[in-house]
This record gives sequence, C-alpha cells and structure tokens, in this order.
Amino acid sequence: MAGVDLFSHPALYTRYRAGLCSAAALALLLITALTYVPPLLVAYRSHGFWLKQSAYLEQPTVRFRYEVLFVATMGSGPGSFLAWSTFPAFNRLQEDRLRVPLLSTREEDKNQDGKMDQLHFKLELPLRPAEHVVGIQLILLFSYQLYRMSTFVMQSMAFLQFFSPVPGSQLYVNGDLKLNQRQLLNHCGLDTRYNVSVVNGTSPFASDYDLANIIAAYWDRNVTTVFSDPSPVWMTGRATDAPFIVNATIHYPVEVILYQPGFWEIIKFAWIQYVSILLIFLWVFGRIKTFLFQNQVLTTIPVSPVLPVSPVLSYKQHQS
Amino acid sequence: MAACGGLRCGDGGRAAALSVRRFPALPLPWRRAGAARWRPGGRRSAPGARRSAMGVTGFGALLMLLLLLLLRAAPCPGDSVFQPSFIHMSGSRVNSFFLGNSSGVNFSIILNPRDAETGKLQLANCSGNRRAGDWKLDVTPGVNTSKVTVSLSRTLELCLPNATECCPSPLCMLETLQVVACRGSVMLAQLLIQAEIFANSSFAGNVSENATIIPNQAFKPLGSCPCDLTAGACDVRCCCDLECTPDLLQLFSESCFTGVFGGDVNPPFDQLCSSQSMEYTPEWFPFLCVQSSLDNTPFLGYFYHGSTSTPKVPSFKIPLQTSPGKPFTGYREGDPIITEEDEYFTVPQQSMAGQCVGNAPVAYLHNFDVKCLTSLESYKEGLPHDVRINSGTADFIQQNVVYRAITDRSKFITESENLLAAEVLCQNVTFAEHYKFTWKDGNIEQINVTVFLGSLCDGEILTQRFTVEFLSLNSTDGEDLFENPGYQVGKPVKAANLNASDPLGSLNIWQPAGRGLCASATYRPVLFGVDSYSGCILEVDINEDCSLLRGNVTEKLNALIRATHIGKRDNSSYSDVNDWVEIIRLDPFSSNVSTGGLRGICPDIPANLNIRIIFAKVGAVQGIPQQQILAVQISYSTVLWQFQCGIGCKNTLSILPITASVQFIEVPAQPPPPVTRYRRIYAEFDCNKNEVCWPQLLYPLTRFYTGEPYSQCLAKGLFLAFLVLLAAITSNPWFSKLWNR
Repeated sequence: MAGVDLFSHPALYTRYRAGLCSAAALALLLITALTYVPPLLVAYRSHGFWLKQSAYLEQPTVRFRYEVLFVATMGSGPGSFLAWSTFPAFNRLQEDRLRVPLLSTREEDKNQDGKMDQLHFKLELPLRPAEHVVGIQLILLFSYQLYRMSTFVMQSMAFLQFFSPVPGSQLYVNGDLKLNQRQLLNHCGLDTRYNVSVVNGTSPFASDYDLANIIAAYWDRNVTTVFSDPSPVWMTGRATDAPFIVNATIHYPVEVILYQPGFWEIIKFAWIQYVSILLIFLWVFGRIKTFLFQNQVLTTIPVSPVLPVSPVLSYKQHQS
Repeated sequence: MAACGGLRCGDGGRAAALSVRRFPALPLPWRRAGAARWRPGGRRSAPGARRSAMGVTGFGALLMLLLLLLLRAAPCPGDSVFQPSFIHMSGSRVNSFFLGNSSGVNFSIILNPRDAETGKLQLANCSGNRRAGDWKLDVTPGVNTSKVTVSLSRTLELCLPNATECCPSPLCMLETLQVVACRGSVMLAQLLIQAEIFANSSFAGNVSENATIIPNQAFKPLGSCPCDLTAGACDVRCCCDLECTPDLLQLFSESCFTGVFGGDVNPPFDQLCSSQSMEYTPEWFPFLCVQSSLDNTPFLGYFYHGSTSTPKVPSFKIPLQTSPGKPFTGYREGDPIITEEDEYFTVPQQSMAGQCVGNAPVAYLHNFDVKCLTSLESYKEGLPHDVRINSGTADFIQQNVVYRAITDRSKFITESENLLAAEVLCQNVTFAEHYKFTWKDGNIEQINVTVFLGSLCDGEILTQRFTVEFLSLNSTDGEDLFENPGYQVGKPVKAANLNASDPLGSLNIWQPAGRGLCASATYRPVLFGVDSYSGCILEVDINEDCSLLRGNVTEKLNALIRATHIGKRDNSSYSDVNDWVEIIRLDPFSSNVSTGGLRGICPDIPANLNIRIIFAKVGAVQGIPQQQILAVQISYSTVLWQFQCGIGCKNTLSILPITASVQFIEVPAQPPPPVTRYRRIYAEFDCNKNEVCWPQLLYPLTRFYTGEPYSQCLAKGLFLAFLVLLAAITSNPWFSKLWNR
C-alpha cells in the first residue's frame, strides 16, 4: 500500500504514514470536518451571523420643487372652496374657485454644509371680508436624494391638512420631512423607481387631482416622505382685509437609512465571527490529532527522521 | 468772521450728505493717459471737455484732471454755508445742503467759473440763474437746511440706432460748476462742483430673448473671443470684441489682451510644421511635424469633459398650458374626449377633497358616477348639449339628448332653510345627466344623453348626479371577454334556483338606510372575497307573539337568500348542475319553550344569519389565480329578545337588531403535506418562523438574499470557495510531494 504523509507536526518532524482508505485517513477527514463545520453552525445558530440589514446616517439632499397644490375649504355649503396650484391644468378646472395666493419660500442651509436644512414657506390667500377659511389642504412637492450608499432619487410630498370648526386667520406648522421606509434600500447603484411626479400635473382630468387618488398612489410607494408636525397652530381672529396665511417651516432632518448590505460586507462580518470560533476548534482538534497520532490510537507508520546527536550528521545521512 | 471756510463753519455731523452715483473705476493706464492729455488751465479746457456727448458703448471715456481750486474767502454773514462745499461729481446728480436761513436767498449756478487764462477761480457774482448749460439747480427749502440738487439735464446714454438724445461719441462731461447762494447781491455761500461724468456705459438696449447657442466644444472653440465679457458693450482692452468701434479701439489698441484670453484661441502648437520659429524645437522637429490648419489644434476640446449641464435649480415656473391635441387615429383609453372646437368635452366631476369641478374633461373609456352638491347661487350651466363631439376619426357626431322632468324632487333636494313660499326664487335646472357613449375600436359611434330637469329654489341644496358610461358596440356578451373563469375579488357571487323555472337567484345582504329600520333597508349583493356584516332594526311590540316574531325574523333573513345553489365559478352555466354547489342550511333550532305567558320575552329568536363561503385557489390563468367556491353554509344564531324598558315607560315598541354576516374562508385546494411535530415546534426549515432556519445557512448564496443578483453572489461565492480550496490543497503535506514529483 502506497503510503502518504497524512500528518506532520513541526515539533518532532514526525510523519505518520497510512493508506488513503485506512482508518487513520478517515479519522483525519472526520476531524477536519469537525474542525471546520461546527464553528459555522455555532456562529449561525447563535443568531446574527449573516448581516441582513444595516443602517447609516445621512442628511438627504432635499430641494423644494416649487410645486404646490392648495385647497382651502370655506364652509360646509356646496362649492365653498378655493383652490390653486402650480399646475395649469388644475387651475383650469377651478374656474371661479381659483384664487391665486402670494407665495414666498426660502430654503435655508443653516450649517453651511451645502445641503438645505429647512424650508420657510408662506402662503397668503387673499379673501373677501365675508369669506372664512375653516380648513386647508396643501401638498408641497420635493425632490429627495440620498447619495451615501446607493444613489436614491425620488420626488416626494409633504401633505398638510388642517380643519377647524372655527374660522382661522393663520395656520402655523413646523415639522420634519421624514423618510418612511417600507423596504431596505440597496447598498449600491442608482435607484430612480420613485423619481416620478407625485401629482400628474400635465393631466387635464379631475380624477388625477383627487387627493384620495394622489395619496393612494403615493402610499403605494415603498419609500416615501411624511411631513410630521405634531403641533399645528390654528390661529383665529382674521381682520376683514387680511389674507389667510399658511406659515410652514419644514425641516430636512438627518435620517437613519436602512439598507441591505452587499455580498462582501455580509461575508466580512460573517468571517470575523467564524474565524473567532474556528480558532478554538483548531486548537482543540489540533491537540486531539496530536494525541491520536502520537499515541498510535490510529494505526499509522510513524516516520521519524532519525534523531541525530548532531544536526551535521543528520544532514550527511540525509544526503547519502 | 473773516474766513468762513466751508468745513469750519458748518456743523459737519449734522447734515453731511454727499450723494454721488459712482461709475466703475477705469483701469489705471487710462487715468494716466487722460492726465497727460489734460493740463490744468490748458487751452483745451471747457470747449474741449464739451466735446462730450455721444457714446456707442461702454466705458470708453475721457479722463481729466482738474486743478485744485482754492476757495476764496467770501463774506459770510451769519452761518450760512453749503455742506459739503466741494463735491467731486461722477454721476448725473449731486446733492448738497445749504445750512442757514434760506428765506430771501437766491441760488444760482455758474458754469466754468475759472478764468480761461490763469485757471484760477473767478470771483462769483450773484447775477446767475438756476440754469447754466446742461445743468439745472433745484432747491428744496427747509427750516434751517435747504437741499440743493444739481443735476445734468441731458442723458449720457450710449447711442442706439433710433435714439435722439444720446452721446454721439464715447466721451465724458468735464466741467466745473459753482453754486452760489445770494441774498440780494451779497453772496452768502458757495458750492464748488467738479463734474467728471463718463458716458453711461451700462447696457440699456433690448436684451435678446434668444439664448446664446453654445457650440459643441469637442469640435469648436467655446468662444472665439474669451475677453468679450459684456454682451452688447465694448470690453476694454478686448480687441477681438466686435462691439468695439474703431474710435474705442484706438484708445486701447496698444494694450490689447494677448494670448487665448485676447482672442487668439487657436495658438500654433509645437507639432505644427509652420511653427519652426518657436524657441523650443524638439530634436525630431522637421521630420515628424504635422501639416495642418490652425483650426485643427490639439487644444480643441481640451477643456471639454463630456456633456455637462448646469444643475436645474427649481423655481416657480408655471409651464405653458397645452391645448388638447386632435385625435386623428382614434381615441385610446384615457384620452380626453374632444369637441368640434378642439376643446375638452366636460362633465362635472369630483376632484380634490370631494369638491366638484365644472369643466372637467371626460377620459375615453373611463366610467364615473358622481354626485355634486349645488345651490341656486352657485349653480352653473354645464357644456351645452348641442356641442358636437369628435368621434376619433376627425368627423363629428351630435349628442342624442332626451330631456325628462324629474318626478321625485325629494331625492335630490335638501332644504337647508325654510323660506316663505311667496318670496322664493325658483329656476329650472339640470338635476341629473346620464351620458352613454357607444364605442368601437377607438371611435365613438353614438352619444345618448338623458337630462333630468327640475326646479331648484332658493335656499335649497341640490344633489346633482352625473354619470358617464362607455358601452362597447361589439361585446354584448361581456363575460366571454373575461378569460379567467374563476371569481375575482369584488365580483358578485352567483346564485341560482336550479329547481325553479327561473333559475336566476340572488344572495344579498342589507344595505341599511336612514334610521336603519328593516323596512327601509335595501339589498346589496354579496361580493366575492369581501367579508361583510350588515343588519337592520326590527321594531317589536311588547305584545308580540314569540312564534310570530320568529317567523317574521326568519322570513326577513330568508329574503336575503333567494337561491338554492351558488356558482362555483363566475361563468357557471345554469344548465350544468356540476357548476353549482348546494347551499348547506343549518336551520335554527326550533324551540317550543314556552315563556309561561310572560310578555316581552322571547327566547331563541334566530336574529343572526351567518353565511360561510369556502373557496380555494384551484389554478391560475395568465398569472391571475383562479378561485372557486367549494361550499356554502348558512346558519343562524339565536338571541333572547327582551323588551327593554325601565319601570313606567310609556312606549310599547322595542327594537330587535337582526344581522347578516358573510365570511369567506380560504382552504388549500389540496390538503397540505403533514408536518411532523418536531418541525412544527422548532420550525427548523420555516424561515418565516425561525431566524436561524437551515435554508438560510448560507444566506448570501441563497435566493433569500436580494441585495445583489443571484448570479453575482454565486460567482463571488465560487471564487471564495476556489481560494479556500486552493489554500487547503497547497497546504496539505502530500501536495508538495505531488508537486515535486
């Protein structure tokens, strides 16, 4: 039987020879398997082995798109509303309900980092003395971009709605434009799935400006933005000649964005865990192997180089 | 009060005002040139300066230096003084303040008060008036301060082709003015103004709306004259600027900008054979030089890094409204319907938050049924019915209008306030409009309109109804078009009376209305896949007989189910018994428990009807699952009715709510494979229930990982495995032996 060196250890330079199909070879194979496979199982079954999601912080690049849709409810009577938007097709539908407001907006980069931090939006709706606003609905459209991991570009919406039993003079809102994720973002690449307009401003049809349809289509998206303002302030007491004012400050906060890690990131974190457990197994099974072979538990032919008194002699013997 | 020098006398902090419009400073060489040309008190003083006026463009102007003139000490009664008393003027208007009592003071302006020969300031006298040459003097009197404004009464605009009053040549005004304030013939104060005004170089012509066309930088130099920085005006020292006239060019022709910036955009390059004269000559020079025209320079496209565009900064831009296009090839689904005048065909529709908009276009093949509230003051007539409509092939069809009078006004009218009948204003208005479009292959074949008219009075609120329906001409049997034979969610469940002569049956639940009494409730079909619950209220008398009540309730519940069989599929045929499943009825437990003559208590009233429909997905047609009803069971649950009333209550009616519920239960079409208890408890292979399930052991290499395409993950995984295998093999002791053999 052709002998093959199956194991050697450096301390004694002893080689143990046995056949490929011998018990020793099988035992060695078993030990190897027991060394490398259980760490994987231990690491996996103790949770958190594969990194299935990860998070990063980024302040999004948000710009107001200067697209507004505005409906003011004047009372419960039929046709008592005023509306205006930056979409001409929408304005065409309104006929005499159209009232052009005075808009003043300003985006501010407070920390001078090149990214806008908040939007100051003011809408002044002129009113006749007999008209009273009891509720408003306002859609502001933004372009929302993330760059750190995958480049994510979308057009998003901030929806403001407030109704009050008391006619108002001003609505003050101040809140965050928050990212709402139903799905993990990619770790690389360009994602323009939602880079479509929230409101189809070119459509002439009334159903395309139905707020229920707009909201329904928007919330079909897996990634959206939400204007969260827990404390809108409705101010009453409008002077007869004063306009109704919507005063909004919309902050663009830093977001924690969840994403799906890439292959190498997953492998890297798995490798760290695997190797740290593997080291123990290597040490344990290395000892076991040494024990088994040294003590001839498995029948092998130990080929020990003749231990010479002096290394010179050993060399000579080897050469001869 | 000997010498009353301006600044000494004046209260500098009080009203020091110097308002001079400044023009851009000229480059230094010009100043020097101008200085050289102008000698103080030289021959070319005033007339030379008056060469003024004209100006094609810009900056071109002349400069001069004026002799500093000494202010003569003047008699200074009181504290009257100009503040400031010396002004260097470079705009067309200058202000000063006369401090002191201005009553009876005459202000006059004197042009060129210098002596022509000596160059010294002439002694001013009070004989002047408020105008001199092109100059005008305005005084705004105040209490102790008078504002004195000296302005140039002519423009120094550059000459445009049609302009009449402008500078004919690029020049400047250079004059000395003196303003004196006199009371009678006594001079109180004097103001010296040194005017040095250049022709207005700011561009005042029409700006062309056409944007400059930027050539493709890969093939043409971006600009043939990079120093031409100002549109429509001559840039100083830019000799390649085409807007510079020869007059202007000769002013700076010696100091033109050189190099690329000066317009030499195609400099000769090293490799050119003709550029031998360059000081640096490579050793290969005469042999490998390039014969080329200068247009083919290697600098071409040097600064071109692909197509770059300026970032679009959003702003308030109202785009132009597009008019509806004219369909010639027929309508497609969702196209707006067009009238003969190329306008939208409009019917009132709901938009925004439920408000109705009047002139909303109608989309082809989009049905709707809307209700709009209106009152007499807000009522508006819609599109007239004689409007002809584009049928889709550029011919026009007339609407077939049927007018009807409304029979039951109360369905449409809510009276908000009761007015006296005598003063109520009424008008005949449209109550409802029903449009039926008959279409075929993208063309409208026919339009039938039914208009319901009625009278609407002041103070009433009308609910108008508008429906638009598109009917296909060639699909009388619409069910055949629908290829999936199974039920779809939201479709009515088919029911049949297979034993009766008329097999058409119905399976309904109540649609409560008004107070919710059973008498006013209508029916609504049971829709597939929609679990529903509905009910109505039965009014029961205290003396009601229990068996009669049971019979009454059972009859009301049974009225919902007028069928013996339910269709398995949406297209079940009435002739085939196999297409139907029989309704399993679990009749209520009929009790004969006597209440012992107690009034107001009835046990075991079958007040709740439960319809359970069991269905399964039996297949899929074109990816849409095909669903089939397997069984229908109807059961009743009973309640104890008790007359609810306190002691001494007068009413003799109590209520009994009766309800019907529909529940759809999905079962697997085939019984699922049995799951061992071990699997069920530990869920080792169910990744939805177990985070560390076995199928995800090698998570990045499985289909569960969606971060990257599976093929990429597999490739990377195999690559890793190959590396590991290679390391394992080469590290084995017998490998080296094998290798050395």
